[in-house]
Amino acid sequence: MSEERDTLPDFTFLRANGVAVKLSELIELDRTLLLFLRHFA
Amino acid sequence: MPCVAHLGEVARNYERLRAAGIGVIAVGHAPPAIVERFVERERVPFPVVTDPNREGYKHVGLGRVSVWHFFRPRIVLNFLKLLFRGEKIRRLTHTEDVFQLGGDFLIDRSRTVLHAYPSRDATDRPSVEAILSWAAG
Repeated sequence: MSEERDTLPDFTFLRANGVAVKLSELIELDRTLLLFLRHFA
Repeated sequence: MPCVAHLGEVARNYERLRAAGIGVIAVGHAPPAIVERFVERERVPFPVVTDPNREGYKHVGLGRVSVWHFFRPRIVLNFLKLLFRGEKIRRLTHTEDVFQLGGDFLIDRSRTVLHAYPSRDATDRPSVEAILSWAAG
C-alpha cells in the first residue's frame, strides 16, 4: 500500500458457505474495522 | 493464536465499537470450510469471510515471515503471555499459512483507508482502545 489514504478495491471475498460477497456489501456503518487474520487456529 | 485472541477482544467489545460507529469485518485466507468451522466455534457477532487468493492481503502490504521469526525472544514471550492468559493453541490445518501476517485497517464507506495497522510480527495487534482512538481522531 503506497499511502495511508489508499482506497481499497471492492474486493470479492467468500462467506463461510462459499458464496461470494463484495467488500462494499459488508460495510454497514460509517467506519469499518477490516481485520485481516493470520489464520483461524 | 494471537490473532484469534485479538478477534475475541474485538468481539467482546463489539457493542462499544458499534456505538462509536465502527463495524467489523474479519478476513482470513483459508478455504470456506475452515471458516465455517471457525464461525461455529467462535460465534463472533460480525461477518467472517475469506480471501483465498489473498488479494486484500497483498493490496494492503501484508507479507509473510520466516520460520525464524517465531524464535525471537519477544515473539516467544508474547505467545507465553497468551498461554498464561488461558488462550488455547489449536491445530492448524494444512490449508493455513502460519507465516502470513495480519493487520487492522479502519476504512470508511467508500473503502478509503483512514488508519492502517499492518502487524509488525505474529503477535502484534492494536488494542480496542487504540482502534477507538483512530475513529475519534
